[in-house]
Amino acid sequence: MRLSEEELAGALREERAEVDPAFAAALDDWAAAGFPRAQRPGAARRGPSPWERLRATPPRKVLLPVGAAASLLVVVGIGISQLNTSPGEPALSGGDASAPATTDDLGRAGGEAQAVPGGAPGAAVKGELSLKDSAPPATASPGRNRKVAQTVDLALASEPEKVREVADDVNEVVNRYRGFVVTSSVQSGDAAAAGGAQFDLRIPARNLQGALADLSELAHVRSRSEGTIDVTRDFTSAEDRIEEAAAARGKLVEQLDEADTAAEVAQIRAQLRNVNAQLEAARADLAAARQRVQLVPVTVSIVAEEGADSDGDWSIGDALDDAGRVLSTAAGVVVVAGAVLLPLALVGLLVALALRARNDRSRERALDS
Amino acid sequence: MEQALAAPATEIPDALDAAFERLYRDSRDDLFAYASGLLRNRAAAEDVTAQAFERAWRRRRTFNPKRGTRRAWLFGIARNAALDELRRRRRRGELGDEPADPDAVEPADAAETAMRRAALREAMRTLSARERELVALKFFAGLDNAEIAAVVGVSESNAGTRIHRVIEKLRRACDEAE
Repeated sequence: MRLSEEELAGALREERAEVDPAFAAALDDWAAAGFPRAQRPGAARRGPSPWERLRATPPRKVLLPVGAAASLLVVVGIGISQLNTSPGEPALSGGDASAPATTDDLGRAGGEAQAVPGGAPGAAVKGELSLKDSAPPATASPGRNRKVAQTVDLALASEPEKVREVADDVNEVVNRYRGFVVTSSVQSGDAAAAGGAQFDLRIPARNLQGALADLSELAHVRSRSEGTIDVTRDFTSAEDRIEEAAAARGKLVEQLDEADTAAEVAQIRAQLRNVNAQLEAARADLAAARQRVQLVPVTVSIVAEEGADSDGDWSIGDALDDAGRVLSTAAGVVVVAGAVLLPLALVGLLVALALRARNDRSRERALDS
Repeated sequence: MEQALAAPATEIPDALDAAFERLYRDSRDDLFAYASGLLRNRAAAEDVTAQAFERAWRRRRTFNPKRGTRRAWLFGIARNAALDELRRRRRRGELGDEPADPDAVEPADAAETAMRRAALREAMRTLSARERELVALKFFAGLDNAEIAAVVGVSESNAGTRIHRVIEKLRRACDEAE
């Protein structure tokens, strides 16, 4: 007798396997406990192998820790490389990089009539000393024959209301070190734009180091530059002219003694006046050259600036600067990490998709046996 | 069973877990019946049933209603676990059927009924695993064609066609046996 479709369906439903009551109870208890893996019921239960456990783990749960570990490695690597490189990069600290660190650096090129050995006489050598330079200028080395004149430019920053006080202190320092003020100009006021001062000073070369140290203590040093110029030629030229004029004068005096006529006397006296004038001019040039070496021109400018007295302390501005540097470094790390991790993530995604497709095909093949 | 299931319903208050608890209650026996019909091994079916619920519980927040019913989603997970088990058993050469339960056919049954059931079981042995899976999903687990299609990954009409072919094959096998 041929079965109808309904009869066959009913017969098939009767073939349905029923759950064993003991297993059902264990399963219910396990469900009530929140399906803890360690307590999983099942007659054929066995612990999954590590590989099976890994395969059962969703790809995102594998990729996330792997990606995090790779990111950590990249970040640590970049951090180490950042620490070991960039010697010219400013450190993460407050303060003006252009300002002198200690007063020991001040007036390094100071000294009176300093000479440079080995240089050609008369050759003008001009040098510039920055406080950021660690080595003293070559032209400042002492020697016997070279004559070197110095120049110093000092820029100070002061709170607007203290400009006048700092200017008075500058005068006091100049007097203390036996220098003098050639010109000065002081504008004081509460507004930062209104304040400021300029000084053109002369400081004895022998007192230059001390004077610069004291001047630098008056306010925050924004910048300081020192220059030297070789004035040996000025000295030798003046001395040669003096020697020549003295010799000419001596000859003219002898000729004057031997002159017979009034016309000869008058002519020789005229020549003598001319030679005397040359001699005086040469002596004056020599004196000026000596003064140029012995009295160092120092230009001091005071700029009124809000917050200038926070010199040396870690201020809000410094904090913002540091924060900016940290953020830019962090952004760089993120960019580099992204450049490394993005391709890795894409490859990982493709691999995960390929593995999933392969696994699906393998599962389907299990039904074809 | 109902009493045991009352516990998680009170302990897990949010709607998502309440939905899962309902799913567990409605599907526990069906899931086992499906796994048992596919694997033809009660121990393996129990293991697959437990695995399926464990995986589904872990992934319960990934369920997307737009992709099918919650029940189809659960059976999809169970199917993967069952196929994994099939693969493992194939690798180990454990694909033989479990011995038939001698108590399954009661002595009081009419002889004709007994013969019919025996013929049906014999006919089911001729089915491939893929065909057996369709029978298990349709008649043991009670899924409709749309749910079967979602579980197996075919269209609903294709699922219906496949099931019809399996039924015809079984009918022919039964007829031949009688």
